[in-house]
Amino acid sequence: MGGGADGVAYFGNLETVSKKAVSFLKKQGYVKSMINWGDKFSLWPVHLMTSCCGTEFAAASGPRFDLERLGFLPFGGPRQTNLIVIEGTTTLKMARSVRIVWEQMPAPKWVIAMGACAMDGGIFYDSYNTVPARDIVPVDIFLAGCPPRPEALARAVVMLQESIVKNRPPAADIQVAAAPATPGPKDVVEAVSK
Amino acid sequence: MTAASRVITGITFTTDEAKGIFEVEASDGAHLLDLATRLKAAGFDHCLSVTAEDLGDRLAVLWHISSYINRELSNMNAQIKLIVSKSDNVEVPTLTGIWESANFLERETYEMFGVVFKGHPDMRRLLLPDDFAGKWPMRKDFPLKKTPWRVQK
Ligand code: SF4
Repeated sequence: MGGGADGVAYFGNLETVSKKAVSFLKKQGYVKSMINWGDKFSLWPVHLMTSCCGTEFAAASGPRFDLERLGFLPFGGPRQTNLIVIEGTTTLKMARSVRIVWEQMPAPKWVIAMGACAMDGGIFYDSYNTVPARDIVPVDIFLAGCPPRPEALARAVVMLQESIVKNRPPAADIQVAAAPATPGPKDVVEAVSK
Repeated sequence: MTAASRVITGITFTTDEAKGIFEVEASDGAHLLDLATRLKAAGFDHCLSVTAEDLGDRLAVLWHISSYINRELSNMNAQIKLIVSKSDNVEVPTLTGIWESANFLERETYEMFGVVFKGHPDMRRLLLPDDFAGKWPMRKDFPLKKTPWRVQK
């Protein structure tokens, strides 16, 4: 009764056998790859428009570029999402909101830092008021351009899908585990306004 | 109207038509208030913007004014300038009593340049976070975080 791939067969009590079969599937990575497949096509970003890159984000979600065909469906609230696209410049005040939104998202979660501003300040480089995205949250993908075209955003999403399929853990898992304590919004601001 | 100056109610503006500059400089606080009162009476009915300029050891505080009702004056954005020596809290008189719209603009100039407008009804920060640590971020001596080689100062 029961059975597995590669000629593995289980016999005996139904409960024991099903447990064995599940652990076999887990060990072989079938369950993980199915979860990854699901994640890959349900990258739902929260629409947090911090700056002008947000217009390109909106264009990318619109009918012409239609990133929804990649499973990229923007939401208004963070509770249903697993991706945050930091759309351009983040000011000190906005950095707190970004951090709060990111903390509200359920795991696993990914971060795309969109535009030159989110990478290193862009045209606001060395300003008293801009915070690079990597100082706020762990970033998976940096997306260059000022602003990046919708095609570039599509490329970032595809790259993220590839990394999910390759079973790479989200940057959030790696960096939060490595950090001694999760830096709160206040710490972010203190680190930056020195 | 001459090329280099223009007179409105006895106040001489230095002008640069090509750049659209009409400027009058006040010598001190009392003179500033006097100028502003006379310009208001002449038809300048609102304040467009307030800002300051870092001149090294001095600060130039600038009020830009214009008119809605007077056709001739509405073509020009006049600028009133007051130069003061730079210190931690520079004190200049407020023009909110004359142009109400200067209220928020002066608050922004306060948080960015450290210009305290004496007599302002609500001299608080406007846009910066309440716990912003540094002082007067738009002044040229504000310490920036990174290497300055990419930024011309
Ligand atoms: S990278 Fe360019 S388009 Fe994007 S937020 Fe910065 S300035 Fe705006």
